Amino acid sequence: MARELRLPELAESVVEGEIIRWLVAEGDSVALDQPVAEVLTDKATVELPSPFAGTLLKHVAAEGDVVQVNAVIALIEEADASTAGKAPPTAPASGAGASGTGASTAETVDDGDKLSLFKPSAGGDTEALPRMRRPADRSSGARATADQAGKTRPAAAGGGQVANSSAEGAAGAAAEGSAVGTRLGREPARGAFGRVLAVPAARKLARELGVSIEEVLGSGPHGRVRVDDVRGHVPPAAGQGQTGPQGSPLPYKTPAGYEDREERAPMRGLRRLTANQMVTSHLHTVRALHVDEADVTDLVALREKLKPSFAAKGVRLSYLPFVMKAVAVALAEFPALNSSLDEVKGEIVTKRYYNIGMATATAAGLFVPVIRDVDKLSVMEIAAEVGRLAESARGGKLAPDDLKGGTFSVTNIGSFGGLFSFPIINSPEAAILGVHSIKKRPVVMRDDSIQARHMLYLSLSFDHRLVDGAEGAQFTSRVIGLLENPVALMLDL
Amino acid sequence: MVQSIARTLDEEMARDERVVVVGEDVGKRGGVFLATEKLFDKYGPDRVIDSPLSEAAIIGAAVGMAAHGLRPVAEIQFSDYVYPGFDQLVSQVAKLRYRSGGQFTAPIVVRMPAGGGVKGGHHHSQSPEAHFVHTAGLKVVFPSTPSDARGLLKSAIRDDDPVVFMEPKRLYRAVKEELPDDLDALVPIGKAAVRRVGDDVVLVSYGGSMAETARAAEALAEQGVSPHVIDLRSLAPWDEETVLEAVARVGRVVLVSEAPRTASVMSEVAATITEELLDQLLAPPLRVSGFDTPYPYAQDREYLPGPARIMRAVQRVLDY
Repeated sequence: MARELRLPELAESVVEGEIIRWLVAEGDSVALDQPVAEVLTDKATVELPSPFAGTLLKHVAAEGDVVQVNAVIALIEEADASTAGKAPPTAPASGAGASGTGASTAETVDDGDKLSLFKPSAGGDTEALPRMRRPADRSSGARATADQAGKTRPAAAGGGQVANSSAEGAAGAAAEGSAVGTRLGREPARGAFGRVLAVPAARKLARELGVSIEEVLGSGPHGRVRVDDVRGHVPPAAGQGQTGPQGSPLPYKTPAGYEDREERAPMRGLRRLTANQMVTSHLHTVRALHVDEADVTDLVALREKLKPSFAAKGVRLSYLPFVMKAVAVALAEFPALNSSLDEVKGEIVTKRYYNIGMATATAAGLFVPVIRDVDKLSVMEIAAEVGRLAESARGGKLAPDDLKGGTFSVTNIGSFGGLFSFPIINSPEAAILGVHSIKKRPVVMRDDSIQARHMLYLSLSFDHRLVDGAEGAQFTSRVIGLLENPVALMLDL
Repeated sequence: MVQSIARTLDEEMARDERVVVVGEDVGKRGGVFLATEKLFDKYGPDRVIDSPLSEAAIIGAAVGMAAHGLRPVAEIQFSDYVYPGFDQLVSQVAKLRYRSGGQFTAPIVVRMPAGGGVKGGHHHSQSPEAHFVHTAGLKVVFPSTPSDARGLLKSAIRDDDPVVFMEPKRLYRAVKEELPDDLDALVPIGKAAVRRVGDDVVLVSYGGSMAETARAAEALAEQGVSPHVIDLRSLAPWDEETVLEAVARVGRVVLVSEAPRTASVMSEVAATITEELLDQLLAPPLRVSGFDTPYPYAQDREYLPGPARIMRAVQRVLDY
């Protein structure tokens, strides 16, 4: 019996994955739990074990395909059908009788027309029968308005509204009054316990399509989301949730005469994921930059002093653990930097935990593994965790959970040179701190003497919707103060 | 329908001399509903036994007969009277096979007219099927047509396990049908019948309520709503496959039974549908049922779920 291999939910809230490589070819046999494919989700590559033993009949999804969780990716002819679990019936089975009824299904009535045996006299109904509203009448209204309003969407809450070429004003107002499209910026209908009102089958379809049920505008009673609403939902393009104008994709035209001197390759895997994430961040944040410098001469000395004792424990001590520690201390004092904006609900989420991501360049591409609860870790513990995650990233061994749950990110650009940079925020975080190279520079000291000091540029890139310029500056100053006076930093530990 | 039952008993007694009938007034009188009419004259007092007015004695005697190789068909005059025999039914009949480690079976049929609609008040109108369905060891059937009554009664008599055979008394003389000549035309226990194929809503019912369900289905079809109608016929075991297949395809279901609502057979059907098919439902399974009150003397028709109540439930699941 041919069984469907579906993409399982590989980690919490993962909705899709990319088939990187098939490990079992069509026609080859496959054992129970044998890895059949490599799947990339949220930058972690996992091997998918086969839940069946048998022969792989067909790759339904090709390498490079991005598939939704629950979608069928392969068919496997199961070797021993007796071990097959009882699947819930989904298709109509043909009935026992032979006579067709002209109905649209394969089922037939058993045993002829028995319903006509029950004459009204058997019950003697006295009550008038209600007039039914027919299915066509019920849904036509919602469908008509959906067509009229087309693909316009109200702008997101919290500003960031960009002029839209497609007559946003008029159509947007029309959308307000009718049950159409997406519900970004509007409160979905909720029932008891705050759950969005939705028909179970609509929830399932939304899961399959990767649509957030919260974004679908319901046309049922009390705004309940129905199956047709999910089908008619206009998903934000390319899996993003952007609310601004979404232009059509830009083609690239090779200049005449250069055809032989260019190469083309499909944009896949990590490159594509990174690109999508950058677009999301670009469209969903209002970036502002604050740059300052820190005199880390004392920190350099301290690190030199501590290095041997760390090395004795097998831990390599870089400057990053000190920066992370300082950031964690400052985040607690400036919570706006540790927040996120829930655009759907129009709410600011302030996080009371400090999970700091560290941008890590590898041969495969860019990863941002997360160090959890930095405020509760010692510099030694942070250094150990930095080492572990960096090694995992370079070895391609990061688990999906290593990449989740960040509240703020640090990107260390210094090792690649440059004065300072303007980092892209790791959405949905509120800010990212760029850490640059430590260089000796001539500095005018308080007594007007000029000394060679170890100087470090820091660039804070923050979402101006959540963080004001003054806060950004104060936060950065606080980080600098801690780095310049590492003893104070230690006292804050 | 009641003639179908009398004829079936006659056919089965002629086929198998181990089949005996026992109950109040089943002999000379032929039963208060005439379900055992003429059997006494034909088979005599040894096989058609008038019992004292004791349901415990009727069912208890049937257990003894069964243990000694007979296949008794006990009649409880109204299902409302079964309670004095309930201990025998639950503690002895249902358990005999298990208690004896399989040495004895209880090939007993306990027939009982059930349901309302005959202006009988609370002691002649109840629908106690849930009690029996909830008792492991009993099979329970509740046909709605003469041919199903015949086919299921034959299956019940030939079954080695006890079967509670419930009869919708208000349909006794209200549904008529030509019966096949085949003396072995069995209807399998545990198999539902699809009475109509449709796409908009599944109506599931059984017993007397099939009459109202049928008329609701007809009215719905006239108004452009396409109902899919299933007659459960068997309540224990019930035909999950037929019901789940239809509900998986259609996504909406209304469950019609005149029995009181709470912990009813349809509650079990609704729970199973929800457990198995939640993701495929377009609306919650709705029960249209009797009320959680003693069956009333007055408002007989209002108590029963009529076509109008069924249709309003259908409207609710269509609009959901």
